[in-house]
Amino acid sequence: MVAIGAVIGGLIGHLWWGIAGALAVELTRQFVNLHQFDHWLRNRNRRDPPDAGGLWGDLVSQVSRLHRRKQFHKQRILRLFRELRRSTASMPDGVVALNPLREIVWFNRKAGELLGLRRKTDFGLQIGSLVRVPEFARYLEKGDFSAGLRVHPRIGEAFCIEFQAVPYGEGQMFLLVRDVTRQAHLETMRKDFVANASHELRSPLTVIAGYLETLALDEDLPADLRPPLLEMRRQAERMTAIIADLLELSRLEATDEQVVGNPIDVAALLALLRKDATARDAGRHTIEMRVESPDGLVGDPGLIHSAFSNLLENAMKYTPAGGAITLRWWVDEQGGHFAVTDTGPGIPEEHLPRLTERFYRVDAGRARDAGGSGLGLAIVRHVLQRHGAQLKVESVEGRGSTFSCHFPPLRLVHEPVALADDTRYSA
Amino acid sequence: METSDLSQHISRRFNEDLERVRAQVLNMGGFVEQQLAKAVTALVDGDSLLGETVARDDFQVNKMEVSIDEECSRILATRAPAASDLRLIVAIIKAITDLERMGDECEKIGYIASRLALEERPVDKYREVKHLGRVVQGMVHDSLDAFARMGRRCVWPGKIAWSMRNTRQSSVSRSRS
Repeated sequence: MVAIGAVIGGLIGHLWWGIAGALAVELTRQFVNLHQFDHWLRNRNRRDPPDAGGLWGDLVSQVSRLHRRKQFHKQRILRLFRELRRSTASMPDGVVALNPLREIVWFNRKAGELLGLRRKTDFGLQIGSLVRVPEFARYLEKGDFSAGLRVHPRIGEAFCIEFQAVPYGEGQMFLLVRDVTRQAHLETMRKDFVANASHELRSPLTVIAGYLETLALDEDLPADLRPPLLEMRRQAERMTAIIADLLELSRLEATDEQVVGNPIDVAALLALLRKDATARDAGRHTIEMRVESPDGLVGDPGLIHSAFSNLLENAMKYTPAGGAITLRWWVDEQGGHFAVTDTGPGIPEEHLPRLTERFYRVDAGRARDAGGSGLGLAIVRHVLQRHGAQLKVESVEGRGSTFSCHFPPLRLVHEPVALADDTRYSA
Repeated sequence: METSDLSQHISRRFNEDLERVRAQVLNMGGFVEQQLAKAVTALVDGDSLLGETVARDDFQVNKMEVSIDEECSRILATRAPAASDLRLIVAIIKAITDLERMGDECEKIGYIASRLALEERPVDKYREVKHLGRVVQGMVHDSLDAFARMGRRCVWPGKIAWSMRNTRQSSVSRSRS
């Protein structure tokens, strides 16, 4: 181009003018190309790429290739994202994603329905400010997400939801929300059924037991009928005991709320338990008592009595005559502890985790001979649960077992409690 | 009073203080909501134990009110908030007084419920009270929601309240007859 300009300039005698003119034309052409390119780049979605040759053409084709590739990936990601959103929206459970500050990052449709959250406006709000159930705040604060949390957001209605927090990353978490109204309803029905059935069984049984008692006292009774009659009486008594335990258990299960209760003088309670036990035991075991702290316990006197006496009774039942049983109450910085140690046959390790299940027997035949209902430890566990306490069982086969209850420090009162009268324990 | 405004403070500590107080107020609100629901349920179902629980737990509302009030005074004294922050603090001070009063009323209802549980229940089984309770619960719930979503144009003026949507039509018409 410049050469052509120079030749033309040479021909007309103005060489430099010719070169300058050619450069100006070239520059204009470049500017036009640049402008077209820029214009196309701004509106690349609507316009066709400019038709330019040479270096400009290469540039345009490079850029449009990049653009097409980007568009393709964008579409793919968008499709994936839409798919993800559609699939999470159709999930039967609610999911809420929270950042470390417990602010809502994202939630799916079901979570919005269950918790009353609104799309867009509620992103970035603290979950606690919209889900204001006190138990929920405590659940998040406690930071123990091994179990879920069931709440009735509207008291007095059956509507029940379950939260399960799933932490991930650095402090973020997913909150799974499920509508468990049906399950909760079924569980209530089951509990009610056990309670009602036991209650209904009790009245006919009382009549049977009453007549058996009268019959057994009848002196005209043929001698060969007496042993079966006595056996019937024993079994009727056992049935009464089982039903009483079932009723107590269903009462305990009715609520998970912590017992508030009154201060209990543990030393006096243990003394009473020991007195009762020695009277019934008739010297088969030596029962020793070691009260190492004057501190009392805050709880329901009737329930605590029932739990402690169940543990003591178990020890008496399973320890052969001549064995020793120790009751111990001590306090340290972890809280208060009550333990019953016996010198019985011990419990094989594989049975330990299942011991507190209802009607679970380590040795079916022997336990029934001893006359247990099979519900004792289940009752103990529930009583302790409602006092925020734990039951621990240690056992060495052939050497004996230790059942211990561990109460949190909150449950202790640090001065000896004066007790009105012992009748409070006769629950 | 945009929450995004709140996050623009030079002092991050101030920001955190405000957010914490807000969270505390909503916590207290949640507790009062629950107390209210429990109190009404105790009255309607004749559950004396629940009524006593409500009456006994009222001290927690008072405790929360005192602690929020102290926190607000502290913020006023040390941070000297202005404009929207000042309005927020003043609004909170007013709101917690009302929430505390609601708590007191719940305590009264709970106490009365535990006493009425021993008496014979009226023929209509407190149907009106139940309905009234639902409406009030809805109002408290909605106003607390509005406080939580402050500044995020989503309060529905004129729309049917939460409670009304959940109330069965029949119970409304029956209570009128």
